Amino acid sequence: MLKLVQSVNAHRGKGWSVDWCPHGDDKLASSGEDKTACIFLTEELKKTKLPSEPITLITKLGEGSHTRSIRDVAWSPCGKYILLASFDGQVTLWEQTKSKKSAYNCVSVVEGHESEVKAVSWAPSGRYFASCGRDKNVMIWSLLDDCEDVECSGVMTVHSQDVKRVVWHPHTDMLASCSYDDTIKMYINDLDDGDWTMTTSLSGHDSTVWGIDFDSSGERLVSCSDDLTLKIWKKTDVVNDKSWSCVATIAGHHTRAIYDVAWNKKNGLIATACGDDQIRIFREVPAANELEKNNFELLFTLKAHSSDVNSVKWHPKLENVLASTGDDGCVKVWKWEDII
Amino acid sequence: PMEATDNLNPKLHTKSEARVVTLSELDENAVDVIDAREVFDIIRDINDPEHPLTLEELNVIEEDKITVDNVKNLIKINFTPTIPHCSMATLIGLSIRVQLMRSLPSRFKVDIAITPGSHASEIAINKQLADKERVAAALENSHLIEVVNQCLTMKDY
Repeated sequence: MLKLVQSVNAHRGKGWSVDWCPHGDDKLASSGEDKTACIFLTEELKKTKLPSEPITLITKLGEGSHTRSIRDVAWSPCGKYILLASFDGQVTLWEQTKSKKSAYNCVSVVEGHESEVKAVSWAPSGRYFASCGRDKNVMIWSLLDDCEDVECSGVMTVHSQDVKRVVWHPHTDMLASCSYDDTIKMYINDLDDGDWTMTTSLSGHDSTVWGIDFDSSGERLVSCSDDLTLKIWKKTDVVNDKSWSCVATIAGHHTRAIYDVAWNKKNGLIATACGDDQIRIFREVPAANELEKNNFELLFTLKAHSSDVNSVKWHPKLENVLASTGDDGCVKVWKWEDII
Repeated sequence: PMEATDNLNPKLHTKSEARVVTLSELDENAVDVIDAREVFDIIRDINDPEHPLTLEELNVIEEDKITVDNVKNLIKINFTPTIPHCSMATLIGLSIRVQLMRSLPSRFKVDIAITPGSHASEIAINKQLADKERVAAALENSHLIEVVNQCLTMKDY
C-alpha cells in the first residue's frame, strides 16, 4: 500500500511537476502555476525510522524570472543544475552556487520556442537536454563547457500538434516525445552528420498522450493518455532502435485523463497520476505460458490529492519512494509497502 | 469592435423565471448540494461574444443540457452554438469554464462539450476544451482573458 510520508502546501494554484535529483545532494524539485519552483532537501528519507517531516523546503526559484506558470522541472544528471520550463516560452538553466548548496543562480535563458514550453528533460549522458511545446516543436540543446554554453543541436518538427512531454532513453542519447496529436515519436542523433532524425512514430492511443516513461532496460516504454488507457510498447528490432510495437493496453481502471506515468527502474512498478485525483500502482504479472503475453495488474489505488494529480516520479535510489503533485498545489511524498 | 458576425439574425428565446429559493437552501447547516438549475443560473447571463445577448437568450445553454452528480462530483454541460460553423464556439466554452471555476466549489470536475451534432468541428473543439493544460495556458494570456472577462461582465438591462 501507498503510505503518505509528508504533504507540503508548495504552490498557490496548481502544482504541475515534480522531479528527484538523480545525483549528489538528496533533493526534490516541484513547479507550479504560481511561477515558482520549490527545492526540497530530502536526505532524511534514507533513515529507516522517518522523522515527522523528512523533506524541508530550502529555496524557491523563478520569482521574477518567469512571467507565467512553470510547467516542468528537470535536474541534470550531475545534480548541480536544474531546468525550468515555462508557459512564458522560456527555459531557464539554474546552477547551484559553490558557496551555498541551497542557493541557485540563473546562468542561462534558453529561447527558441514560439509559445508555451511544456516539458524539459536532461539526457543521462549530460550532453543534451530537450524541450517541447505548444509550437509543435521538439528542440534538442547541446551543452558545452560546464553548461555555460547552450547551443541548439536540432529542431524536430514532426508532431502535428502541441508536444506534451519529452523523455530520454535511460542509457543512450535517444529521445522520445508524446503529443496532443495522439502519437509518440523517437529520435536519435546520426553520428555521421550530427543531425537528429526521427526513427519511430507510434500510433495507437485515441487521444492526447500526456506522459511516457522507459523501463530500466530501455527496451520498453509505457505511455498514458486522455483515452483513459496505458500502453506498453516494446522494441522489436534487436539491431537498432527503430521498430517498436504495442504489446499491452491497460484499460478499465482510470476514470479521467491520465496525466503522468512513472516506471520504477528498480522494482518495475508503474505509478500513474490521474485526473480523478487518484494515484494507481500497477505490477507486471508474468504470462502463464509462452503463448500468452505478460499482463499488468492494478495493485493499489488511492485518492492522493484533493484535485487532479499532474505528476508522479519514483525516487531514483530509494526504490519504494514516490513524489506527486496536483491541482491542489500540494507536493506529497509516499512510501510503497508491499502487502503480504 | 468585433469583426463581421457569423450569424446576423440569431433566434431569440424567452428567459427562465427566477428560481424559487427553498427553505432548506437558506439553512446554513444543510449539506450544500448543487443542482442543474444552480449551475444554469451561474452561466445563463454570460454574454455571447458577438451579439448583445446572453447565452440563455440564444439557447446556447439550456438547463436540461446540464447534469450534476453530487456523489461523484461531476458536472456535464452541453452547449449549442447558434450555427454549425460558429467561430466563437471555443471562446464560449472557455467563458463557461472560467465562470464555473470562479463560482463552483473546487470538488467538482466540469466537462464542457458541444451538443452532439451542432457544430462542424465538434470533436476538435471538445478536445481543446477538455485539455486542462491548454485551458490553463489560455487563462494566462492577457488578451484572451480580457475577451473572456467581457463575456462574463453582467450587463444591466
